[in-house]
Amino acid sequence: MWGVIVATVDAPAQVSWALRLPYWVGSVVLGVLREVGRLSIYLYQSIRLGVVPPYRIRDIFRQMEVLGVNTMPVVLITALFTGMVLALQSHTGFSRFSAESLVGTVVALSVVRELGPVLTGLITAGRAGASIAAELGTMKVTEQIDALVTMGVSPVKYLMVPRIIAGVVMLPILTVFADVVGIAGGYLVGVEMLDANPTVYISRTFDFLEVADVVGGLIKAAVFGGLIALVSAAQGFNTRGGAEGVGRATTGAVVLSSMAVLISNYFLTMAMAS
Amino acid sequence: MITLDHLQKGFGGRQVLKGVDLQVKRGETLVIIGGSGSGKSVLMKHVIGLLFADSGQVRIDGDDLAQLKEPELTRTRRRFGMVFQNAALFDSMNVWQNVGFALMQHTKKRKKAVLEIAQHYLEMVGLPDVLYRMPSELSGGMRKRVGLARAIATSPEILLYDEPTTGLDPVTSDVINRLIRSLQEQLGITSLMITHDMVSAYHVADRMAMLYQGKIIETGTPEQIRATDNPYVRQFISGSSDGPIEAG
Ligand SMILES: Nc1ncnc2c1ncn2[C@@H]1O[C@H](COP(=O)(O)OP(=O)(O)OP(=O)(O)O)[C@@H](O)[C@H]1O
Ligand SMILES: [Mg+2]
Repeated sequence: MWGVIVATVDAPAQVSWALRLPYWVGSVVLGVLREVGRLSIYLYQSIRLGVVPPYRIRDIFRQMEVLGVNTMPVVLITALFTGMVLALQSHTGFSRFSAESLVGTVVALSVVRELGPVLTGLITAGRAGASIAAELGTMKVTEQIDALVTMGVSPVKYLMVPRIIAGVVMLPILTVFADVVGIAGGYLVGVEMLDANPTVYISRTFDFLEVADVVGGLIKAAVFGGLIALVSAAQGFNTRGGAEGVGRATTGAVVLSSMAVLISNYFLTMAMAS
Repeated sequence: MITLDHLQKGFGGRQVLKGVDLQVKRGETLVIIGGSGSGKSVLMKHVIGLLFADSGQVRIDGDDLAQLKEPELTRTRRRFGMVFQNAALFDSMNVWQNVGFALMQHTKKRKKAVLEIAQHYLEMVGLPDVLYRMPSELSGGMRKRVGLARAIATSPEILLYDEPTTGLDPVTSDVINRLIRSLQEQLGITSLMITHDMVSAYHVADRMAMLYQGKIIETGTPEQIRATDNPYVRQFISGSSDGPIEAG
């Protein structure tokens, strides 16, 4: 990721490392600030242009479909195995103080509050983030974005806004699936392999689960969806220099949007806890 | 109508335009010639506000493009049609959707009406039956002509052509040259055209200008250009590698 950020700043040649270190640190700080500034501008424009008609409902649905199809299978498989391994691990741990009956509770809470939204976010960052950056980056280097501008069509409104809305809507939906499949995976291991009593396991799963846990997880997911689309589309728009540039934008989008997911996750969790 | 005033532009410390002064009058066709990499496309992108100068001005009917607010800039851009050097077709859309794109975006016309308009302009560029093909299924020359059809489909006041005939066979080139000429004569469209193709340049130009090392070194009618004693221009139009121009 440093590569992505530092690449925009030329390192001075022939300087001792002692001088290069502060230079490097400064470059990274500047790079981060520049990226954050650029994203804020895109976010502002997206909101400003997104609230006025035309709303391009069909474009939004198309993007939702693309995002769902791209991500759903991977999300489901990941959630299933994560739920399963969680049950296995917590069983191992809890059996040391004879609290095996809490396995269902732990699986449900971890999946719904944390793993469901975050894993869905990371998978989306990898799949949808890459494909958004590659698509828009190609449009940029082949001057299709310029062509839009000359026709008086805003690329932010036409390309970025539908992807952001699709992300905000689709990620919670994907997360619901991830939650359900993750909990089912836990049940599978807990009941079928580790011989927990099904009725007890199920009641333990839902007894301590609150609506706020679910809602909080889905809010996180919505934020992740918006961030991934914003970051990846911005990478696409700022692509330079042919096929190689598209490659760089794609990796950049995956790295930066994954980081955006993880960092914003912490702050969202903190905000919701207080 | 279009005035470039001491336009300067560099990329990462390398000056590409070093003070370009140029005027395009209403209704005329001005052709810019100049070597590969001399900055012709960069110059054209300034005229429609895709790039902004480091210093100097681009004025369209007196308004400095760099001073316009976003909505006015958008309105000004829509007075133009632009043919990109590499066509820049939207590769997720088929041919008629490309040609009709701006109409679909900005007018309330129905799909059927736009389809008919697209067909009309595609016939004008000699492509009567490609409506439903994707850009990836077209040859380079066909893409170029679809790009031209897309640019003229909105009936713009001003047309910018970045090498509209490059890569076309001589006969098709002539069709395009005649089309450009007739757009100007019948509809009074103002045009700025870049080309390497001297046949095309002499055919369509009211005036010509040569860009060399970041500046306009000569302007004049095709006759004046043909008879010039500027050694750079002479070398360029005769297509010789002997002379003062440094290759590359
Ligand atoms: N966005 C950009 N960033 C950096 N450099 C650029 C950019 N656009 C153009 N250049 C550089 O500016 C110079 C002029 O490019 P331009 O495309 O205008 O040439 P041209 O005269 O149109 O050439 P050709 O006849 O081959 O199309 C080139 O050296 C090119 O590398
Ligand atoms: Mg060019």
